[in-house]
Amino acid sequence: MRARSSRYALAIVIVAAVVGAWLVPSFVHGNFWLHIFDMMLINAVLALGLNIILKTGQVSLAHAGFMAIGAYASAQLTLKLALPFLAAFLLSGILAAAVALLLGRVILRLKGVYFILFTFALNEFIFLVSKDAVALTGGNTGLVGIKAPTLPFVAGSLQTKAQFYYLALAVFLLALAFLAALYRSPFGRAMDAVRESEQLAEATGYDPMRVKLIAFVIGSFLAGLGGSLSAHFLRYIAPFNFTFWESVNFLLMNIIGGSFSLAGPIIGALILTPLPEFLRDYLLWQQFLYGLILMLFMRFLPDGVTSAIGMSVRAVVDWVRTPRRKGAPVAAETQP
Amino acid sequence: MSELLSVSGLSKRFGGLNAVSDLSFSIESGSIVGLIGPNGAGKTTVFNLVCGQQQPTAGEVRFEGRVVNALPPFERVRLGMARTFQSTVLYTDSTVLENVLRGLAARSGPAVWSGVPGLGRWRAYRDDLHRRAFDLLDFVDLRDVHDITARNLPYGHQRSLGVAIALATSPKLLMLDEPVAGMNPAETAQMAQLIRRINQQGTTILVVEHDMSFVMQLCGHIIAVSNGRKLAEGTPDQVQRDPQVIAAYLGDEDVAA
Repeated sequence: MRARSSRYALAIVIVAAVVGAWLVPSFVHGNFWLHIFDMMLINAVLALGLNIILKTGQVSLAHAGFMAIGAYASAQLTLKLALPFLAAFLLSGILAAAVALLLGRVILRLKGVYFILFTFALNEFIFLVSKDAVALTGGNTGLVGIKAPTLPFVAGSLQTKAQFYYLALAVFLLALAFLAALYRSPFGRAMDAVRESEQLAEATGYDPMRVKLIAFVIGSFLAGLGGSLSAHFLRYIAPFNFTFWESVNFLLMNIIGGSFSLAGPIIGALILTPLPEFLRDYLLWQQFLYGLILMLFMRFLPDGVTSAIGMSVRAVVDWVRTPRRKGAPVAAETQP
Repeated sequence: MSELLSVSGLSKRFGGLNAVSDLSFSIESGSIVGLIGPNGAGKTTVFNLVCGQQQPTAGEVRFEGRVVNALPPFERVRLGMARTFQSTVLYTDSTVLENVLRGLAARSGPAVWSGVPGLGRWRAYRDDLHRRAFDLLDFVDLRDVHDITARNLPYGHQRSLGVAIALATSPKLLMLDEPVAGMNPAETAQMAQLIRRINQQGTTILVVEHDMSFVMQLCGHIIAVSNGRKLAEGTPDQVQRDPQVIAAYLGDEDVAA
């Protein structure tokens, strides 16, 4: 009964959150805030993509690199080959996933700090390619004039930030629903097993390499989709969008939000996306304050914001329940 | 009785050291076999070669007549070869129940989309998995602590949980690496009883151990190794009386060299 009532509560919260998110453009006017909400959703898709990689115990610093692959692919497919947005969008995810599949077979053998270092170098490599392969990427100038997204059965293109918002929200919700189903499935359990002890996972019949590779490919697919979204939202991409600092940002979104639940990377994206904007008034101190805030989060919420929310929800629930128990016998808690 | 596992001409060299040389033995289906030897005899190396954690320099490992040399550990598990670890290797941050569920879920499970409410048989699958997990926890006497984080269990319970995880893979051959190392006599007796009960359910057992009295009481058949070679093989009485075994344990230079 307790499980059922908490499931209803969760369903209500989710429905309310989706409806609330859907209504954002009706209440938020002004391009500044709409821009931030659009970027939050794009970043949330990317942070979710990194979350599934982290779930297998691999810390990737190449996430912005895979985002770059998706962004440049999507931009060029629409600019040079005049593909419709939706085709370019899906192909950019598939291309990033294909690169992850080819590289993953080799680099996922690396563990811990070696994997981190290699993915750092990989991100730098992709960054350098985006600077130097001028014919493909426009070099330092980047690519300008990327078209706003068009959708089948929708007249015109999604020119305004409010129109784009619904596209980003739909992509975000699809990504979230997919990962939620995946994490609940036996494969979710396999990822947890591999993260906690690869040795034991292998000794009980899991193929750790396969589990890590599937997660890496799915995470990079989402990175490619996020890259495509950002390219068609900003209509301009350049190498500096995809430095390794961007990868660090996606990692921070997971750490600040809490990487052990799907709510974590979302909350992290909600917090970290607008943070530099809030600090913009203190230009001289912007980087310093950003760093300070991150340190405070890590000092006081090492398991992320979701852990604090979980604890406070539990505290409220216990508080609500306490009076009802007054007359009940104390021994009711023992296990059958 | 048929041969479940057979090892022939097994050798493993580390640089100039012959950790295992030309070792052959076989394990009958349904038996409890002990692999004994003094420290450094190569017991753990043999164990790792059989499980697939290490590759032999020469020789063959056959399971149910099939050569499994080329198979990685997880595929040997799927054939029915399970192992436990010398140290307590557990999912230490997860509950006891979740530890067993992970062992159960490794080999079977519905497709990804069955996690979506209303699609597939997710609930039936989950309920069945939980029922089997609690059956196993009953069997190893850990039901009462099913919601405790594994790292907080007492040592003896951690070792039982290790066995439960291995059992969750429904093995035909259960290989135990020093199951009573570091245990007090009461815990040792409990573990011996647990192993007998597993065996009574039809699971063949291979125990690597250097607690002699434990092995002598438990095993019907014993293989003694020293310096990577087989010294003797037979019933506990035969092995205990074997002059080479006595020499290896007490240190007779003529024989052990």
